[in-house]
Amino acid sequence: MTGIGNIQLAWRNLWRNRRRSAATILSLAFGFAAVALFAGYTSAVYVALSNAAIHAELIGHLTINRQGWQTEGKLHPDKYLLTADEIRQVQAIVEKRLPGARLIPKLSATGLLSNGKSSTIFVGAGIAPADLDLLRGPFRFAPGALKEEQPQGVTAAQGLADVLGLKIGDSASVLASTLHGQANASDVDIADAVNTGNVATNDKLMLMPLALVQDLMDAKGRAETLTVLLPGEGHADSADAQGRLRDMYTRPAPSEVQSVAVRDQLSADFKAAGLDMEVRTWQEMSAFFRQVKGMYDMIFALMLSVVLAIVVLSIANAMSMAVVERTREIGTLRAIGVRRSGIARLFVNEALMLVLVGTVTGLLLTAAVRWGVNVADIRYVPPSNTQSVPIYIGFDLPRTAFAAGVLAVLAVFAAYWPARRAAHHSITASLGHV
Amino acid sequence: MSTPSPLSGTTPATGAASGPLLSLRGIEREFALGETRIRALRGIDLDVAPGEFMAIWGPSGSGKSTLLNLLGLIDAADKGVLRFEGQDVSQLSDDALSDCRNHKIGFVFQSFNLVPVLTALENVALPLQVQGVKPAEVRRRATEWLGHVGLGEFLDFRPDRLSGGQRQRVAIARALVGAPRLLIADEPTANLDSQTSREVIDLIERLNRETGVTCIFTTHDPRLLARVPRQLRLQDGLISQDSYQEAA
Repeated sequence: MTGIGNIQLAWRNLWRNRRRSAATILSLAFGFAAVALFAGYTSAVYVALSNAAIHAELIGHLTINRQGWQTEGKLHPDKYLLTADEIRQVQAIVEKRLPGARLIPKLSATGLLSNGKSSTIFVGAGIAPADLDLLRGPFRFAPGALKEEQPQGVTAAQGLADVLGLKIGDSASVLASTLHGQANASDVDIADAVNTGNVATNDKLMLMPLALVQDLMDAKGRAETLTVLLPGEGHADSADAQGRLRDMYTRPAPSEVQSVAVRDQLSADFKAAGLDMEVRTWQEMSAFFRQVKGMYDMIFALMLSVVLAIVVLSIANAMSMAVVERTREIGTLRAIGVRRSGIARLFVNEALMLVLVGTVTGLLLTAAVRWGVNVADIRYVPPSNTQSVPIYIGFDLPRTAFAAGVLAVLAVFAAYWPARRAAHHSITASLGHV
Repeated sequence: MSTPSPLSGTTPATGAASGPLLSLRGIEREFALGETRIRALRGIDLDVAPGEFMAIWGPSGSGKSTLLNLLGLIDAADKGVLRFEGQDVSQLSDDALSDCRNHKIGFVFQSFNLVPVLTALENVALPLQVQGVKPAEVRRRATEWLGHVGLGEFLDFRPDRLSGGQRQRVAIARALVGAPRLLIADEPTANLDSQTSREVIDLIERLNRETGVTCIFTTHDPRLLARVPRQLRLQDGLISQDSYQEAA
């Protein structure tokens, strides 16, 4: 090559002052790596939280119930519970719209759980054992499953069992109101006791076979909510515990846009069929997910702003010094006919080269730290949780690319202004600069 | 012995028939030095014909460099009219002035002013790249010019590996590679020993003769003045002497 290309020239100029360029590139790389790592960590947390909401909290992907059930359902259960015929209609519509999706009827009951001597409040979630297995997806290997062969078998939250001194294999009684307001009791067997991982539910929750809850409430064949599990979910989990953990952090749930689109399609189908149903997405159902995501998004924005400010100031400082040091050269280039815009372009290219080298270094740093953290299996107990979870760092391509893009744009501005100022200097003054 | 000009086919026109290359009328230039106003040029009238070889000399502070900067279109007069090929340069935009310098004027500086990160070949290629000449042509012309100034073996050398005289030769090749009408040299021999100074002036003189490029340079060295056909002496911002002589 004879004449030097813009990129090659920018590269050579970058290394005129090696120490300064290296310091700028390192600050850029560390800042960018911090942003990329945090973005990767939060995105993995979002995926894990979404899977926890869908499969551990048993929210599923979509929740269908009669319109008004949320506000009036507890007051008038008979009016708002879905009938067997309605469930079949909904089933047909869901199968047509979402082939392969599973519809899971659920019915909840509240009342008293007694060991014969004392009693306490329970919140029972009624679900068929096979459906529970399906809905739990990656969690189905964990304790807490219901069994078809134990029609009276329930899984009590560990705290609830502890309050009444119940152990696995013990029998107890539940007392609840039927749809018509009459008291009804039933015997249950404590088939399992598990820590729910949440202090708010660990002393109340009880998983019960759907048929048992329907009997207790005198609501045979009825359900209050129908949970939709979208196709492709719940069947292809990794066989080993480590793999399932990875699934938790890496298997993304449907995005808000996708969920809303499916919700709207189903709502329209129900309306067309004359069914007065309300459909909610898992994002709408999980307040905890929304709150955590909102908090992390805010922290990310704040962190990105701080890192960008520091990095851009560093680039601006490096470019300003480069412009001052090369004032005489700028004068020479202007004298041989380079336009002012050409001078600005020269320094902008150098700033972009800085960003390119810095972000590539930052990405390598990110990959190294990410690998180290994920292998180290570092654990912590999140707020409201009772069990530790590992820190897992994913890779959030959209937000990492966004950060790199913003850096590039700001670097252009950081380089353009000092270069423009220098290009507007008098040529004779620039040539006389020492 | 003369070598064929690498500018064959692009040699600037010579002779007075086409009118003066440069025409200055009533040129004044002032500078501010703190509270003091310094009148560097107090009213210069001057015509420079195409192909002339001219030296500007005079004591320090006489206005030599100021006049040279104006002639090279890198500075603007406060008063008066400067015409380059008949065009009043005060009417040109900054971009038009840049293009004019790129296509029609070559500069040689006292301190060479080569770009340190570029090789000799890349330095010489710069004006052609700015013009947008195709890479193959850029290489051909830059290589030819470096050969012409005796640096054909130093194409890939960066300035820090060249001697002062070699650097100035690279600067001369850079100044002339674009086939300019005018070569401006501000004390081109000031940083060179006397032998190298003579060689550089020999080179400029030869190129003036072969290419017809108009050459104007400033100098303090009386030995060099003796070799220049036209000598313009400045004193206190005015032309005190404008003389012609047979070149030595």
